[in-house]
Amino acid sequence: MALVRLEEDDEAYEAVEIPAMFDPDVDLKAAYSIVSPSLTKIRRISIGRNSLGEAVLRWTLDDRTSATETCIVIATFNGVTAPLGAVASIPGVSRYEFADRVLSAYVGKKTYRIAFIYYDGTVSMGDRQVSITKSSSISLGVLKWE
Amino acid sequence: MIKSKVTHTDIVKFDEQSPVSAVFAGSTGRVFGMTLAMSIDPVEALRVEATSCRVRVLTQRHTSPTVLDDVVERSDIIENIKNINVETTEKYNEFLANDVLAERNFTIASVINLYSEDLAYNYEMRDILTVTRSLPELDVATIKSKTGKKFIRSATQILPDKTFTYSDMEVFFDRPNMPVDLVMFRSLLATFAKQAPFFQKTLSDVMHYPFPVNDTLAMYRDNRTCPYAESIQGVGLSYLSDEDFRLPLAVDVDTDVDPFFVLDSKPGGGAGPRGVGGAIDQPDPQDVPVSPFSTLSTAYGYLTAYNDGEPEDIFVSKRQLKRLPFRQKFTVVAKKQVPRNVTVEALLMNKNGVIVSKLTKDVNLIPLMVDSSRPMIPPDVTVGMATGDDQTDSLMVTMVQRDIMANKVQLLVKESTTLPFSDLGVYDLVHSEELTLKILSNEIVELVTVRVVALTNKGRTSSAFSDIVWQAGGGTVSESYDGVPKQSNPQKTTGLIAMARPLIRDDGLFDVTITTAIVSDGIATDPDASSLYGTLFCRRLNVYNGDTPGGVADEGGGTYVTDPTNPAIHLDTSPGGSFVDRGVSVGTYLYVVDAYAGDEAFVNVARSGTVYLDHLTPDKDGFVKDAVDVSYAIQSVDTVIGPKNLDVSIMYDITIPKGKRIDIALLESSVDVVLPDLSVESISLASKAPKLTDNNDGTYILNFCVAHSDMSPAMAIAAQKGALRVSKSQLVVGTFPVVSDAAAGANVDSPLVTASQRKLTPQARKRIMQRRAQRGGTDVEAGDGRGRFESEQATEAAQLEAAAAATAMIIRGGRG
Repeated sequence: MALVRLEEDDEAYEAVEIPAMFDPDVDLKAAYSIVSPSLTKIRRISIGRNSLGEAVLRWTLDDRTSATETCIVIATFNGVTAPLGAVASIPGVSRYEFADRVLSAYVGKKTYRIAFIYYDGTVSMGDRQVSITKSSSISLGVLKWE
Repeated sequence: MIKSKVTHTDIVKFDEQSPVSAVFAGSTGRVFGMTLAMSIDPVEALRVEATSCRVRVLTQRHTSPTVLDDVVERSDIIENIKNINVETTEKYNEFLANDVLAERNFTIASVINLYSEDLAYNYEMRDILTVTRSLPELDVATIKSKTGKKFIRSATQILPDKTFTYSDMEVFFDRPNMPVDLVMFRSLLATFAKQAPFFQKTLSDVMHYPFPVNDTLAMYRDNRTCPYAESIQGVGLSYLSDEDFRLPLAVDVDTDVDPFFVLDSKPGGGAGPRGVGGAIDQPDPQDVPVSPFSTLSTAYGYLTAYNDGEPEDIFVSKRQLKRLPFRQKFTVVAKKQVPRNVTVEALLMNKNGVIVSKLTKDVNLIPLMVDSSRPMIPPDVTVGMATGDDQTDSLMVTMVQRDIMANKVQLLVKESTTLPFSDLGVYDLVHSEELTLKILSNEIVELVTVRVVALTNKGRTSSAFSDIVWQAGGGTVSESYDGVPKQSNPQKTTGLIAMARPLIRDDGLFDVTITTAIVSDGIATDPDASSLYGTLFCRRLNVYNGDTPGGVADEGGGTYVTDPTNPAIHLDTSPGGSFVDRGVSVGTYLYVVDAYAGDEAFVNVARSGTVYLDHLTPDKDGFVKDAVDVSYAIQSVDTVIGPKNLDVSIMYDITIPKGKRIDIALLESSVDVVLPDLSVESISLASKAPKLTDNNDGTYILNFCVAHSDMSPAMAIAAQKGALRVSKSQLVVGTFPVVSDAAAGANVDSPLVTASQRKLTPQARKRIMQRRAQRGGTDVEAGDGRGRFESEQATEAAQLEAAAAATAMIIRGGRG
């Protein structure tokens, strides 16, 4: 199926042909029904802290089939495990990063995992996790040690 | 006299974790904001008698001029010494003019005052003993290894509990059989992912739930970091609806079993093992009530766990500060492009201006910019279907950039729940700018998921994205899909909309009719949804009294709409019914609907738009009379499907008093259009060029044409079906000095000549915004970069409005 995009113009609509991803004569549903997305693997994952004090997760995916649609970041903190955010997967992009703008301000250990949603609705959990700990609610260097 | 000075380098220090953060704003690259996190040792500062601090952002450090070079003979030295003052002054002035990007001076006492007024006073009095003894104490949260034995004895340990800052989240963690470790119910999540689009949900929407943080722990949040945490969680909440915070109990399903219980149960019904430590029997999806799939909380529940058995060792103890942390925010407007590297300098001075302590830090701005430029607010996206003149359907996708840092969006479209997204490209789109794209498909489209990602650079991605599902037929499930059985027992909808229509009475008071309507909200799966609520009550809030929708009636929550014959009786109705609030006086109001479902009360389930009751409110015949006795009313609304555009013609009757000849300018004119679901959209007429027709009976007709491109997709579809209804028109008119027709260049019965008929095209708007952005920066407030950029945008918006006002049209009419 070919998609045609029409861009808004000052005077009129101008038709722009978008290259079809697939042969329009092929029944896509049939074609995709035999392709099962392979499980995405995390090639590398790291965590650091940026100048705003936010924990920043960076990961690289081994996803040659571009089957991943969304990366859900799941955090564990103070007994609670829950989704924290998500990053959109875009075809051709293999390096991802996610800044934890919520939990980074709290004292304690946070553990992050990545779950993957594939285009056909299937879901998997990444096999690696990273942790980072914030040791105090105020810089320890300003405290008096008695 | 020779001055001697001793400089200390540790009186003022940069913060160890986040000393400097910065953010660019503006398209010129000349404007940026910078936050410096520092701390000061008040005792040492007092010891050296420091009174003030000067913080500067420099392109390079200052160097003193060489004064004893080129010495050949004794007279040269004398001459050089004579020139010391001149050269030093000149060099320093050059340094100030060229290298100092920003400077801030403040007193030490003002920093100390942030912690304690008494301490600041004692500092001013130079009472070093008292200052040393009265350094402030704070409750500080630390992990065990950083607490110290002495403090642990008196410290309070923070244990996990289910009292969260967002109390709505507590229900998800207070259910029976909550797993202690995350167990991926892959088959159930996959089923949800396939079914959810039929309810306008996507699995990725779980990202919008606020993360549940223990209420006690939240009190010890480090306020220096994560400045956007509150706003990002708030933005996420706006993507969720009421039902997303309710456990997906199986309403209308012949069981009272909690589906979460089912999830952890063996197929036979017996409870399974709790969390890890045993194999989890994943139930057959057929055994799970189907109705839970209609709410996002189902999927959220599958991705959560709670374990209070191994608490974090977090302790709170009272600690005395030896240094006082503080922050300084700068807005820097450079004369030329901001360099990659800057130097930050903090100079501590005594009352004589002598530098007693100096601190410098070289900063590479590039990584700081990267840190603060990640998009965090998803774009607003609306999707609709429109039919072209050749009867081909096309998808209208309207995107509005909501993130201040993002300057692009990437559009992806998915036409089935089991196909990948097609990439439709990356488009330039800056904050507040809107872009509408028309997408044609050579197949009949029934279900489309549109994903729009906010970007700063092409070839990257971000966590600021929106997934919007559009379904033919208004989001109802009418047939089975992928083997999943049709939803036979739809839940009742909680969707309710309220609309207020005021009319002015002869006695100058107002009658306001508040109409309610039931709408499908994604839970209900029948085309004609029935309401969950039984009885409705209505409150009138006086906006300027500070009444709030969530408040209690007569206690800051407005007053109930009552029976005019007996004010003690609160009027009620059922969903779909109306209230009439009679005899309301001039003011600005908001109507809020409260509901009962059985014995359970739900506050603020629907609300009207803001209702302005003034002389512009129409009477029962639909006529508005303004201050100069010019009255007008909408005569008709016609929709015309043109060859390329869909036009809406709105006809006004304008009556100008006989014996008067006046000029009228249309300013801020708009028409509110009601869509079939009772939602209201406004069409601005300020930039439209109307045609004036004299009816020769004292009335005139103004004919406006609203182009398809000016309409939202929903409005275009409704107009095409003839389903638009005009609820309110507002023609703010003003009188102008009488000028001759010839001078004005306008004639009755001819196309109206406007003062400026220039319509702001998106391109023109963009150019204006770019010019504003280039000029921006001088109006920037000190603060974090995002707030500053918002200020720029607000200025631009005001200027755009001014440009629109300049297009106000002069109508010349009246009967002599």
